[in-house]
Amino acid sequence: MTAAEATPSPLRELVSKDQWALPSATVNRTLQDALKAFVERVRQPNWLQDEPAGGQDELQPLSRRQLERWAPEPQWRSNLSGFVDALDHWCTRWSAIQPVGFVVAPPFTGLAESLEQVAADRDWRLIAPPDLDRIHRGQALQDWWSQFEGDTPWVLPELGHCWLRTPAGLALVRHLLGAIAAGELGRGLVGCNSWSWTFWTHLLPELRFSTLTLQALDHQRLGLWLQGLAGTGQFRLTTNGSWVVPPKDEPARNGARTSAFLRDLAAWSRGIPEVAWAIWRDSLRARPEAEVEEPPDAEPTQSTCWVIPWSQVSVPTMPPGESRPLAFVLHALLLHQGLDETYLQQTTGLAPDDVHIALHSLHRAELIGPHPRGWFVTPRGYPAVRRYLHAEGFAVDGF
Amino acid sequence: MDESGLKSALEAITSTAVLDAVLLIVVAWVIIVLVQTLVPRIAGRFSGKTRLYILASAPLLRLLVILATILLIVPILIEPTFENLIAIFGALALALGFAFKDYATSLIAGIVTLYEMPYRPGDWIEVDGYYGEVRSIGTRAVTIVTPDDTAVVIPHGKLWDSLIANGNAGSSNLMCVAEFYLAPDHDAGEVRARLREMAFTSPWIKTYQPVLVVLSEKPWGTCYRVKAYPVDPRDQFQFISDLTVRGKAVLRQMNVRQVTAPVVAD
Repeated sequence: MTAAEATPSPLRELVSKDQWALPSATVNRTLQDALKAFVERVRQPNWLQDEPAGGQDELQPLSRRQLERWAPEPQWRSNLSGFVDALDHWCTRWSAIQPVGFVVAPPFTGLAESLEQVAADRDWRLIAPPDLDRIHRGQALQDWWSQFEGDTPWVLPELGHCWLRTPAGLALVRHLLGAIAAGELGRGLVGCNSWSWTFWTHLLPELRFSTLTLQALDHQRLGLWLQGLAGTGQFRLTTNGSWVVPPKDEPARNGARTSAFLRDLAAWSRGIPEVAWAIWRDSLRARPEAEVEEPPDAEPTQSTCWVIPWSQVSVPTMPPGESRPLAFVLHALLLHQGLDETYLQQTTGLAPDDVHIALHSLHRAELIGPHPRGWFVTPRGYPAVRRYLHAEGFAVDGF
Repeated sequence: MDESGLKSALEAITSTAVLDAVLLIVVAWVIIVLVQTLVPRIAGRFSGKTRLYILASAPLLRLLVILATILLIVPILIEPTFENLIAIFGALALALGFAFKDYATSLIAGIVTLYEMPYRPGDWIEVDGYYGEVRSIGTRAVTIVTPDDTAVVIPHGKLWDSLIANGNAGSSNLMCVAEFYLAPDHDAGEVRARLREMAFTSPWIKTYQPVLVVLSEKPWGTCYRVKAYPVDPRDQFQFISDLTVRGKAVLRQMNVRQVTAPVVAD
């Protein structure tokens, strides 16, 4: 193990885009995934079968209580020290040229929550997005602009909530970016989901703001994070008992059999924490498949949670065949970080019935779910949705 | 040509050899039919570049099957000496040249298309006024399907003397143009900017490709042409329609009047 591997970077590390690195899968796994995707596409399995999509394992998943014990919901508002340090470092370096910092990250990274917490901790002004109806009507929104007045820095946690993909719905963000570039809005922080940012960089190719992003979690940092969520306890594979998260202490780690599960999980989830966490929760089991041999390095005092092998993990898949309405709805949801039926109609140009049918199909496939803003892609479904949109030729984010 | 060489080569062919050759041809024909049926069907399950790559493999596989069949048949029928090969292929060329000149021209052009690739399956081409998507490339002809779902069979021989326009040339990028004809008295800079922005609101658009709005002044007004790429070439007509609908709505909101050509009644 190299020194770099032994001391992984902080969990919520902010880096520039060129330092961002996608976790890599093993060659074997990449080939298997590609072959599986090809065969599934050619075979067009009976997607709308009524039987539950059963994996190969017959073990019961954890109860809700057990899940709260082993994989509780991530708290994005805590452990922000590395995040805040990077922001401060960036401000010291760039604030003279660019008084407004941009943090761009994929969905399910908890970026907006983290920025809200930064605003709360520092007593900065939190800018709420305007009402979507007013954006859609292209109203002047003087009251919204007045929030930027004053000397206190401000935080806009999600730029994606400030626009709509309609002719009148682009004006606000266009003006906002122009005002930021002109230095008219003072010091501030803007958070933006990667899909929205990609759209705006295409629309305004001359956009050259310096941006920061959250580093993707590689298998090491993912292991640390998931172990940190669980606190005490150990994670081992249901089939052969090998370690999923390697033990912390050095003597036990030496010579321990370690599974490639975390590497596969990090690659499939593209290092996005909430995506990995959602799949992780589905992979946990209360007992192994059979009596597994107790490794000499196992700590009998520690409780064990079992993890099914990656080949048995079941993730949502796209309905077979091409469907423009499905693609339009998914793309609109990702661009705007969630929308309701009304605004999906406005942004996609689809008829109300088509939107309802598309939402029903996607909900049934567990690719989307209810959201405070209406509907949004589920964390478990996100990798499949991104792959699908990419394959269909849509503009996808660079993360 | 050495007539005695040809004669002796043909005399050496046994009925068993002919049967084997016929069997091989039948097997090759079945494989080619399977390739030309299955490959487009498999490609239909995909979209974007994957679909185009799979479609492009069909003519290549057909060529490989043809070459393999020839390589297998020749040694079965004749002893593959230099003299025998010259005699057989010479006679064959003569027969084709006289009896099936046009057919042979298309066959040869078909082979040329495999390496020059003026069109590939999935391309949108226009030949002699016919515009459509290349669905299959046969030995003699290419089949395109027009937007009105009419199959047009075009002999490869057209390659020699016709202009072939290819909209996407093996890629998934096909530029579409939506035109607007406006009365001349308006803020052209503002209209141009709004039309470009309007194009980005279309869900059919490939936002990572350039979007251009060009205009030209005409005696009757100003012609705006919005140029952009749809996510898939097959979406081109839907995309142009969507751009037109959205563009008209934007122009109406801006109170910019569209012009129509005067019609002279009989």
